[in-house]
Amino acid sequence: MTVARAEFPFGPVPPAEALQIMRAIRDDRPMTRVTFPVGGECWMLHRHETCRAVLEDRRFVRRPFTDGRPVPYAFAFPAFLTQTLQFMDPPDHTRFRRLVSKAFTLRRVERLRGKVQEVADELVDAMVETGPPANLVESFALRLPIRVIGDMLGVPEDGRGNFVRWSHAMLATSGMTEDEVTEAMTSLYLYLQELMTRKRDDPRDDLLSALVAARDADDRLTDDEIIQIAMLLVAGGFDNTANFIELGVQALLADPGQHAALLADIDGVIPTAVEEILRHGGFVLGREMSGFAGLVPFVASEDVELDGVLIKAGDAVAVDLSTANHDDGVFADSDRFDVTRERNPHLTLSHGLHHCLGAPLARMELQVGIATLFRRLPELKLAGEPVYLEGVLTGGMTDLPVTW
Amino acid sequence: MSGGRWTVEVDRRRCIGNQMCVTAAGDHFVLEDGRSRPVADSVAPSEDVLEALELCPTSAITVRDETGALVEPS
Repeated sequence: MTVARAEFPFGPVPPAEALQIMRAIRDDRPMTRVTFPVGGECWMLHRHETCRAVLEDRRFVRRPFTDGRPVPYAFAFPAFLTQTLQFMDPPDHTRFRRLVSKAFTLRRVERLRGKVQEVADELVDAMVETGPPANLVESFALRLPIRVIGDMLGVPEDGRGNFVRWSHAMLATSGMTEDEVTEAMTSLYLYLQELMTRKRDDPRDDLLSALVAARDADDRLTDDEIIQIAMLLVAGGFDNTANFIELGVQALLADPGQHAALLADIDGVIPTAVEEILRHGGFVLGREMSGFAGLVPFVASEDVELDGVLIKAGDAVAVDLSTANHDDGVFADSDRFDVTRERNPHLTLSHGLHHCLGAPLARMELQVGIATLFRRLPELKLAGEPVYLEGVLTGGMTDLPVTW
Repeated sequence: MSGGRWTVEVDRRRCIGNQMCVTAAGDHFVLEDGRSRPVADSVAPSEDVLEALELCPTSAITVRDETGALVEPS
Protein backbone atom coordinates (compact mmCIF):
# COMPACT_ATOMS: atom_id res chain seq x y z
CA MET A 1 0.00 0.00 0.00
CA THR A 2 1.35 3.42 -0.87
CA VAL A 3 1.70 6.03 1.85
CA ALA A 4 -1.13 8.55 1.63
CA ARG A 5 0.01 12.10 0.97
CA ALA A 6 -1.12 14.63 3.52
CA GLU A 7 -2.42 17.08 0.95
CA PHE A 8 -5.43 19.27 1.55
CA PRO A 9 -7.60 19.92 -0.43
CA PHE A 10 -7.71 16.41 -1.92
CA GLY A 11 -9.85 14.19 -4.10
CA PRO A 12 -12.21 13.09 -5.34
CA VAL A 13 -10.83 9.66 -4.37
CA PRO A 14 -12.41 6.39 -3.20
CA PRO A 15 -13.54 6.55 0.46
CA ALA A 16 -10.83 4.19 1.77
CA GLU A 17 -8.15 6.39 0.24
CA ALA A 18 -9.85 9.56 1.57
CA LEU A 19 -9.74 8.10 5.09
CA GLN A 20 -5.99 7.41 4.72
CA ILE A 21 -5.29 10.90 3.45
CA MET A 22 -7.30 12.42 6.30
CA ARG A 23 -5.33 10.37 8.84
CA ALA A 24 -2.03 11.50 7.29
CA ILE A 25 -3.15 15.14 7.45
CA ARG A 26 -4.20 14.90 11.11
CA ASP A 27 -0.90 13.26 12.02
CA ASP A 28 1.04 15.90 10.12
CA ARG A 29 -0.51 19.20 11.30
CA PRO A 30 -3.49 20.71 13.14
CA MET A 31 -4.59 22.95 10.27
CA THR A 32 -4.03 23.90 6.63
CA ARG A 33 -4.28 27.35 5.11
CA VAL A 34 -6.29 27.02 1.90
CA THR A 35 -7.48 29.48 -0.71
CA PHE A 36 -11.13 29.14 -1.63
CA PRO A 37 -12.55 30.16 -5.03
CA VAL A 38 -14.83 32.55 -3.13
CA GLY A 39 -13.77 34.58 -0.07
CA GLY A 40 -10.06 33.80 -0.26
CA GLU A 41 -7.90 32.28 2.45
CA CYS A 42 -9.13 30.20 5.36
CA TRP A 43 -7.51 27.94 7.97
CA MET A 44 -9.09 24.50 7.78
CA LEU A 45 -8.94 22.73 11.17
CA HIS A 46 -8.41 18.96 11.01
CA ARG A 47 -8.26 17.76 14.62
CA HIS A 48 -11.32 17.22 16.79
CA GLU A 49 -9.87 18.98 19.83
CA THR A 50 -8.89 22.09 17.85
CA CYS A 51 -12.31 22.24 16.20
CA ARG A 52 -14.11 21.98 19.52
CA ALA A 53 -11.90 24.65 21.04
CA VAL A 54 -12.74 27.08 18.23
CA LEU A 55 -16.47 26.31 18.36
CA GLU A 56 -16.41 27.06 22.10
CA ASP A 57 -14.33 30.24 21.78
CA ARG A 58 -16.26 33.52 21.49
CA ARG A 59 -13.22 35.27 19.99
CA PHE A 60 -14.22 33.55 16.76
CA VAL A 61 -17.17 35.45 15.30
CA ARG A 62 -19.40 35.52 12.20
CA ARG A 63 -20.39 39.18 12.08
CA PRO A 64 -17.98 40.11 9.23
CA PHE A 65 -19.96 37.80 6.92
CA THR A 66 -23.26 39.46 7.83
CA ASP A 67 -21.62 42.78 7.01
CA GLY A 68 -20.81 41.62 3.51
CA ARG A 69 -17.41 39.92 3.63
CA PRO A 70 -17.67 36.92 1.30
CA VAL A 71 -17.73 33.58 3.12
CA PRO A 72 -14.62 31.53 2.21
CA TYR A 73 -16.25 28.55 0.59
CA ALA A 74 -16.14 26.34 -2.46
CA PHE A 75 -18.88 28.47 -4.05
CA ALA A 76 -20.80 31.66 -3.33
CA PHE A 77 -22.64 31.06 -0.06
CA PRO A 78 -26.44 31.59 -0.31
CA ALA A 79 -26.86 35.29 0.54
CA PHE A 80 -30.09 34.81 2.51
CA LEU A 81 -28.36 32.58 5.07
CA THR A 82 -25.72 35.19 5.87
CA GLN A 83 -28.47 37.42 7.29
CA THR A 84 -29.85 34.77 9.65
CA LEU A 85 -29.17 33.32 13.09
CA GLN A 86 -26.25 31.20 11.96
CA PHE A 87 -24.25 34.31 11.11
CA MET A 88 -25.06 36.36 14.21
CA ASP A 89 -22.88 36.74 17.28
CA PRO A 90 -24.08 37.40 20.83
CA PRO A 91 -25.97 39.36 21.98
CA ASP A 92 -28.09 39.44 18.77
CA HIS A 93 -27.69 35.72 18.24
CA THR A 94 -28.99 34.97 21.70
CA ARG A 95 -31.90 37.37 21.43
CA PHE A 96 -33.14 35.73 18.24
CA ARG A 97 -32.31 32.16 19.14
CA ARG A 98 -34.22 32.48 22.42
CA LEU A 99 -37.37 33.26 20.46
CA VAL A 100 -37.50 29.82 18.94
CA SER A 101 -35.19 27.60 20.96
CA LYS A 102 -37.81 26.55 23.51
CA ALA A 103 -39.71 24.68 20.83
CA PHE A 104 -36.72 22.50 19.93
CA THR A 105 -35.37 21.35 23.29
CA LEU A 106 -34.96 17.65 24.02
CA ARG A 107 -37.83 17.79 26.51
CA ARG A 108 -40.28 19.41 24.09
CA VAL A 109 -39.27 17.23 21.19
CA GLU A 110 -39.72 13.99 23.12
CA ARG A 111 -43.39 14.92 23.57
CA LEU A 112 -43.75 14.80 19.78
CA ARG A 113 -42.24 11.32 19.38
CA GLY A 114 -45.59 9.50 19.46
CA LYS A 115 -47.07 11.80 16.83
CA VAL A 116 -44.01 11.44 14.58
CA GLN A 117 -44.29 7.66 14.92
CA GLU A 118 -47.92 7.86 13.74
CA VAL A 119 -46.93 9.90 10.71
CA ALA A 120 -44.08 7.50 9.85
CA ASP A 121 -46.46 4.53 10.10
CA GLU A 122 -49.05 6.26 7.92
CA LEU A 123 -46.44 6.95 5.26
CA VAL A 124 -45.28 3.33 5.25
CA ASP A 125 -48.94 2.19 5.11
CA ALA A 126 -49.34 4.26 1.96
CA MET A 127 -46.15 2.81 0.44
CA VAL A 128 -47.35 -0.72 1.17
CA GLU A 129 -50.78 -0.02 -0.28
CA THR A 130 -49.32 1.34 -3.53
CA GLY A 131 -46.79 -1.48 -3.60
CA PRO A 132 -43.13 -1.53 -4.62
CA PRO A 133 -41.07 -0.01 -6.14
CA ALA A 134 -41.13 3.47 -4.64
CA ASN A 135 -39.08 6.64 -4.71
CA LEU A 136 -38.14 6.88 -1.04
CA VAL A 137 -37.43 10.61 -1.32
CA GLU A 138 -40.97 11.47 -2.41
CA SER A 139 -42.87 8.81 -0.53
CA PHE A 140 -41.15 9.05 2.84
CA ALA A 141 -37.89 10.96 3.41
CA LEU A 142 -39.28 14.40 2.52
CA ARG A 143 -42.83 13.81 3.64
CA LEU A 144 -42.05 12.90 7.23
CA PRO A 145 -40.06 16.03 8.20
CA ILE A 146 -42.32 18.33 6.13
CA ARG A 147 -45.38 17.06 8.01
CA VAL A 148 -43.56 17.50 11.33
CA ILE A 149 -42.17 21.01 10.76
CA GLY A 150 -45.38 22.07 8.99
CA ASP A 151 -47.38 21.08 12.08
CA MET A 152 -44.92 22.73 14.45
CA LEU A 153 -44.92 26.00 12.53
CA GLY A 154 -48.64 25.89 11.85
CA VAL A 155 -48.39 26.00 8.06
CA PRO A 156 -51.48 24.59 6.33
CA GLU A 157 -51.30 22.05 3.51
CA ASP A 158 -51.41 24.63 0.70
CA GLY A 159 -48.13 26.12 1.92
CA ARG A 160 -46.35 22.83 2.48
CA GLY A 161 -46.66 21.96 -1.18
CA ASN A 162 -44.15 24.73 -1.90
CA PHE A 163 -41.65 23.90 0.88
CA VAL A 164 -39.20 22.09 -1.39
CA ARG A 165 -39.18 24.86 -4.01
CA TRP A 166 -38.76 27.58 -1.37
CA SER A 167 -36.06 25.73 0.51
CA HIS A 168 -34.06 25.03 -2.65
CA ALA A 169 -34.16 28.71 -3.53
CA MET A 170 -32.89 29.73 -0.09
CA LEU A 171 -30.09 27.13 -0.24
CA ALA A 172 -29.25 27.47 -3.94
CA THR A 173 -25.57 27.59 -4.84
CA SER A 174 -25.93 27.21 -8.61
CA GLY A 175 -28.42 26.25 -11.29
CA MET A 176 -30.90 29.02 -10.43
CA THR A 177 -30.69 32.56 -11.74
CA GLU A 178 -30.75 35.43 -9.28
CA ASP A 179 -34.24 36.30 -10.54
CA GLU A 180 -35.50 32.78 -9.93
CA VAL A 181 -34.10 32.79 -6.38
CA THR A 182 -35.63 36.21 -5.69
CA GLU A 183 -38.98 35.17 -7.12
CA ALA A 184 -39.17 32.03 -4.96
CA MET A 185 -38.03 33.82 -1.82
CA THR A 186 -40.45 36.69 -2.34
CA SER A 187 -43.25 34.20 -2.73
CA LEU A 188 -42.25 32.54 0.58
CA TYR A 189 -41.92 35.94 2.28
CA LEU A 190 -45.38 37.05 1.16
CA TYR A 191 -46.90 33.71 2.07
CA LEU A 192 -45.50 33.86 5.61
CA GLN A 193 -46.43 37.51 5.99
CA GLU A 194 -50.03 36.78 5.11
CA LEU A 195 -50.14 33.64 7.27
CA MET A 196 -48.66 35.45 10.26
CA THR A 197 -51.18 38.27 9.92
CA ARG A 198 -53.92 35.66 10.13
CA LYS A 199 -52.27 34.16 13.22
CA ARG A 200 -52.18 37.55 14.88
CA ASP A 201 -55.99 37.65 14.64
CA ASP A 202 -56.48 33.99 15.36
CA PRO A 203 -53.52 32.59 17.34
CA ARG A 204 -53.02 28.84 17.51
CA ASP A 205 -50.74 26.60 19.52
CA ASP A 206 -47.93 26.74 16.98
CA LEU A 207 -44.54 28.35 16.43
CA LEU A 208 -45.65 31.04 13.97
CA SER A 209 -48.29 32.23 16.44
CA ALA A 210 -45.62 32.25 19.16
CA LEU A 211 -43.34 34.35 16.94
CA VAL A 212 -46.11 36.83 16.26
CA ALA A 213 -46.82 37.06 19.99
CA ALA A 214 -43.11 37.57 20.71
CA ARG A 215 -42.98 40.37 18.15
CA ASP A 216 -45.96 42.08 19.72
CA ALA A 217 -44.42 41.78 23.19
CA ASP A 218 -41.00 43.14 22.21
CA ASP A 219 -40.66 46.48 20.41
CA ARG A 220 -37.08 45.70 19.39
CA LEU A 221 -38.29 43.03 16.99
CA THR A 222 -39.57 43.97 13.57
CA ASP A 223 -42.05 42.08 11.38
CA ASP A 224 -39.24 41.62 8.90
CA GLU A 225 -37.00 39.93 11.50
CA ILE A 226 -39.80 37.61 12.56
CA ILE A 227 -40.46 36.57 8.97
CA GLN A 228 -36.73 35.97 8.41
CA ILE A 229 -36.67 33.56 11.35
CA ALA A 230 -39.73 31.77 10.02
CA MET A 231 -38.02 31.50 6.62
CA LEU A 232 -34.95 29.99 8.27
CA LEU A 233 -37.12 27.43 10.03
CA VAL A 234 -38.58 26.43 6.67
CA ALA A 235 -35.13 26.26 5.04
CA GLY A 236 -33.58 24.28 7.85
CA GLY A 237 -36.65 22.44 9.03
CA PHE A 238 -36.80 19.45 6.74
CA ASP A 239 -34.26 19.17 3.98
CA ASN A 240 -31.21 18.06 5.99
CA THR A 241 -33.43 15.66 7.89
CA ALA A 242 -34.67 14.17 4.62
CA ASN A 243 -31.10 13.92 3.33
CA PHE A 244 -29.95 11.99 6.38
CA ILE A 245 -32.93 9.62 6.25
CA GLU A 246 -31.90 8.86 2.66
CA LEU A 247 -28.22 8.56 3.56
CA GLY A 248 -29.01 6.35 6.55
CA VAL A 249 -31.05 3.92 4.46
CA GLN A 250 -28.36 3.80 1.76
CA ALA A 251 -25.51 3.33 4.25
CA LEU A 252 -27.28 0.55 6.14
CA LEU A 253 -28.18 -1.27 2.92
CA ALA A 254 -24.56 -0.93 1.75
CA ASP A 255 -23.15 -2.66 4.84
CA PRO A 256 -24.79 -6.08 5.42
CA GLY A 257 -23.10 -6.61 8.80
CA GLN A 258 -24.31 -3.32 10.23
CA HIS A 259 -27.73 -3.75 8.59
CA ALA A 260 -28.06 -7.09 10.41
CA ALA A 261 -26.90 -5.52 13.68
CA LEU A 262 -29.69 -2.96 13.39
CA LEU A 263 -32.39 -5.48 12.45
CA ALA A 264 -31.42 -7.68 15.44
CA ASP A 265 -32.41 -4.94 17.89
CA ILE A 266 -33.89 -1.95 16.09
CA ASP A 267 -35.09 0.01 19.13
CA GLY A 268 -31.90 -0.67 21.07
CA VAL A 269 -29.53 0.22 18.24
CA ILE A 270 -31.29 3.09 16.44
CA PRO A 271 -30.01 5.92 18.70
CA THR A 272 -26.34 5.03 18.17
CA ALA A 273 -26.98 4.11 14.51
CA VAL A 274 -28.30 7.62 13.80
CA GLU A 275 -25.20 9.22 15.37
CA GLU A 276 -22.97 6.97 13.29
CA ILE A 277 -24.87 7.86 10.11
CA LEU A 278 -24.33 11.54 10.95
CA ARG A 279 -20.60 10.94 11.55
CA HIS A 280 -19.64 8.49 8.85
CA GLY A 281 -22.63 7.57 6.65
CA GLY A 282 -21.24 9.28 3.55
CA PHE A 283 -18.15 7.03 3.58
CA VAL A 284 -20.11 3.79 3.31
CA LEU A 285 -21.67 4.30 -0.11
CA GLY A 286 -18.59 3.82 -2.27
CA ARG A 287 -18.99 7.29 -3.79
CA GLU A 288 -15.74 9.17 -4.24
CA MET A 289 -14.97 11.67 -1.50
CA SER A 290 -13.17 15.01 -1.52
CA GLY A 291 -11.56 17.06 1.21
CA PHE A 292 -12.32 20.70 0.59
CA ALA A 293 -14.94 22.76 2.40
CA GLY A 294 -16.30 22.11 5.88
CA LEU A 295 -18.63 23.81 8.32
CA VAL A 296 -19.36 27.54 7.95
CA PRO A 297 -16.20 29.57 8.74
CA PHE A 298 -15.60 32.02 11.58
CA VAL A 299 -13.36 35.10 11.71
CA ALA A 300 -10.82 35.67 14.52
CA SER A 301 -11.74 38.94 16.27
CA GLU A 302 -8.22 39.17 17.76
CA ASP A 303 -4.91 37.29 17.50
CA VAL A 304 -5.40 33.77 18.87
CA GLU A 305 -2.81 31.05 19.28
CA LEU A 306 -4.31 27.72 18.34
CA ASP A 307 -2.36 24.47 18.62
CA GLY A 308 0.90 26.40 18.33
CA VAL A 309 -0.25 28.35 15.25
CA LEU A 310 -0.88 32.09 15.41
CA ILE A 311 -4.29 32.93 13.94
CA LYS A 312 -4.21 36.64 13.19
CA ALA A 313 -7.16 38.96 13.84
CA GLY A 314 -9.26 38.92 10.67
CA ASP A 315 -8.18 35.41 9.61
CA ALA A 316 -10.96 32.98 8.70
CA VAL A 317 -11.06 29.49 10.25
CA ALA A 318 -13.36 26.56 9.55
CA VAL A 319 -13.91 23.01 10.76
CA ASP A 320 -12.82 20.34 8.26
CA LEU A 321 -15.76 18.21 9.35
CA SER A 322 -14.90 14.84 7.77
CA THR A 323 -11.33 14.82 9.03
CA ALA A 324 -12.30 15.90 12.56
CA ASN A 325 -15.09 13.30 12.62
CA HIS A 326 -12.51 10.54 12.06
CA ASP A 327 -9.95 11.67 14.65
CA ASP A 328 -8.49 8.45 16.06
CA GLY A 329 -7.88 10.09 19.42
CA VAL A 330 -11.66 10.45 19.84
CA PHE A 331 -13.31 7.77 17.70
CA ALA A 332 -12.15 4.17 18.24
CA ASP A 333 -11.53 2.34 14.95
CA SER A 334 -12.63 5.52 13.21
CA ASP A 335 -12.71 4.15 9.63
CA ARG A 336 -15.33 1.59 10.58
CA PHE A 337 -19.11 2.07 10.21
CA ASP A 338 -20.28 0.91 13.64
CA VAL A 339 -23.97 1.37 14.40
CA THR A 340 -23.39 0.51 18.07
CA ARG A 341 -20.51 3.00 18.56
CA GLU A 342 -20.69 4.17 22.17
CA ARG A 343 -18.57 7.32 22.21
CA ASN A 344 -19.49 9.45 19.23
CA PRO A 345 -19.08 13.20 19.81
CA HIS A 346 -19.15 14.01 16.07
CA LEU A 347 -19.37 17.63 14.97
CA THR A 348 -21.83 17.15 12.11
CA LEU A 349 -24.46 19.27 13.90
CA SER A 350 -21.70 21.64 15.03
CA HIS A 351 -21.03 22.46 18.67
CA GLY A 352 -21.21 25.43 21.01
CA LEU A 353 -23.12 28.59 20.20
CA HIS A 354 -24.12 27.55 16.70
CA HIS A 355 -24.92 23.92 17.48
CA CYS A 356 -27.88 23.04 15.26
CA LEU A 357 -31.04 24.58 16.69
CA GLY A 358 -33.14 21.68 15.43
CA ALA A 359 -30.74 18.92 16.53
CA PRO A 360 -33.03 17.23 19.08
CA LEU A 361 -35.91 17.27 16.58
CA ALA A 362 -33.76 16.04 13.69
CA ARG A 363 -32.32 13.22 15.82
CA MET A 364 -35.76 12.09 16.92
CA GLU A 365 -37.14 12.18 13.36
CA LEU A 366 -34.14 10.23 12.07
CA GLN A 367 -34.53 7.64 14.79
CA VAL A 368 -38.26 7.21 14.24
CA GLY A 369 -38.05 7.44 10.45
CA ILE A 370 -35.21 4.99 9.84
CA ALA A 371 -36.36 2.55 12.54
CA THR A 372 -39.89 2.50 11.13
CA LEU A 373 -38.71 1.82 7.58
CA PHE A 374 -36.57 -1.15 8.63
CA ARG A 375 -39.10 -2.51 11.11
CA ARG A 376 -42.05 -2.35 8.74
CA LEU A 377 -40.12 -3.23 5.57
CA PRO A 378 -37.41 -5.68 6.69
CA GLU A 379 -36.79 -6.69 3.05
CA LEU A 380 -36.14 -3.08 2.01
CA LYS A 381 -33.49 -2.81 -0.72
CA LEU A 382 -32.32 -0.45 -3.43
CA ALA A 383 -34.05 -0.82 -6.80
CA GLY A 384 -31.87 1.40 -8.98
CA GLU A 385 -29.42 4.25 -9.03
CA PRO A 386 -30.16 7.28 -6.87
CA VAL A 387 -30.45 10.66 -8.58
CA TYR A 388 -28.50 13.33 -6.71
CA LEU A 389 -29.50 16.97 -6.57
CA GLU A 390 -27.01 19.56 -7.82
CA GLY A 391 -26.68 23.21 -6.89
CA VAL A 392 -28.19 23.08 -3.40
CA LEU A 393 -25.99 23.77 -0.36
CA THR A 394 -27.23 20.81 1.60
CA GLY A 395 -27.09 18.29 -1.25
CA GLY A 396 -29.68 15.55 -1.13
CA MET A 397 -31.41 13.69 -3.92
CA THR A 398 -34.52 13.64 -6.03
CA ASP A 399 -34.86 9.88 -6.47
CA LEU A 400 -33.92 6.93 -4.29
CA PRO A 401 -35.58 3.89 -5.89
CA VAL A 402 -36.38 1.15 -3.35
CA THR A 403 -38.32 -2.08 -3.28
CA TRP A 404 -39.23 -4.60 -0.51
CA MET B 1 -42.34 30.39 43.75
CA SER B 2 -41.74 28.27 46.87
CA GLY B 3 -39.52 29.56 49.66
CA GLY B 4 -37.00 26.71 49.97
CA ARG B 5 -33.69 26.55 48.13
CA TRP B 6 -33.01 24.85 44.83
CA THR B 7 -30.16 22.55 43.95
CA VAL B 8 -28.78 23.16 40.45
CA GLU B 9 -26.70 20.69 38.45
CA VAL B 10 -25.30 20.65 34.93
CA ASP B 11 -24.49 17.33 33.29
CA ARG B 12 -21.22 18.27 31.62
CA ARG B 13 -21.30 15.21 29.37
CA ARG B 14 -24.54 16.43 27.85
CA CYS B 15 -23.57 20.10 27.75
CA ILE B 16 -22.60 21.28 24.28
CA GLY B 17 -21.58 24.78 25.29
CA ASN B 18 -24.57 26.38 23.60
CA GLN B 19 -24.61 29.06 26.32
CA MET B 20 -28.37 29.65 26.43
CA CYS B 21 -28.18 29.20 30.23
CA VAL B 22 -25.39 31.76 30.58
CA THR B 23 -27.49 34.23 28.60
CA ALA B 24 -30.74 33.58 30.42
CA ALA B 25 -29.22 33.36 33.90
CA GLY B 26 -25.75 34.89 33.89
CA ASP B 27 -25.71 35.10 37.70
CA HIS B 28 -26.23 31.38 37.97
CA PHE B 29 -24.22 29.74 35.19
CA VAL B 30 -20.69 30.28 33.91
CA LEU B 31 -18.76 28.75 31.07
CA GLU B 32 -15.72 26.73 32.07
CA ASP B 33 -13.59 25.04 29.39
CA GLY B 34 -16.41 25.62 26.93
CA ARG B 35 -19.12 23.99 29.08
CA SER B 36 -21.53 25.37 31.59
CA ARG B 37 -21.40 24.89 35.35
CA PRO B 38 -23.63 26.35 38.07
CA VAL B 39 -22.10 29.28 39.97
CA ALA B 40 -23.51 27.88 43.22
CA ASP B 41 -24.97 24.44 43.94
CA SER B 42 -27.74 25.91 46.05
CA VAL B 43 -29.76 28.94 44.97
CA ALA B 44 -32.93 30.78 45.90
CA PRO B 45 -35.77 29.99 43.46
CA SER B 46 -35.34 32.15 40.39
CA GLU B 47 -37.23 32.87 37.17
CA ASP B 48 -33.89 33.13 35.36
CA VAL B 49 -32.86 29.64 36.42
CA LEU B 50 -36.25 28.36 35.24
CA GLU B 51 -35.70 29.98 31.88
CA ALA B 52 -32.21 28.46 31.58
CA LEU B 53 -33.72 25.08 32.46
CA GLU B 54 -36.30 25.50 29.73
CA LEU B 55 -33.92 26.82 27.06
CA CYS B 56 -31.13 24.24 27.37
CA PRO B 57 -31.21 22.36 24.05
CA THR B 58 -29.82 19.13 25.48
CA SER B 59 -31.73 19.25 28.79
CA ALA B 60 -28.38 19.09 30.61
CA ILE B 61 -29.63 21.17 33.56
CA THR B 62 -31.35 19.58 36.56
CA VAL B 63 -33.05 21.63 39.27
CA ARG B 64 -34.44 20.10 42.48
CA ASP B 65 -36.40 21.76 45.26
CA GLU B 66 -35.62 21.31 48.96
CA THR B 67 -37.57 18.03 49.05
CA GLY B 68 -35.45 16.63 46.22
CA ALA B 69 -38.34 16.80 43.73
CA LEU B 70 -37.49 17.84 40.16
CA VAL B 71 -38.41 21.39 39.25
CA GLU B 72 -39.96 21.32 35.76
CA PRO B 73 -39.88 24.18 33.29
CA SER B 74 -43.26 25.77 32.70
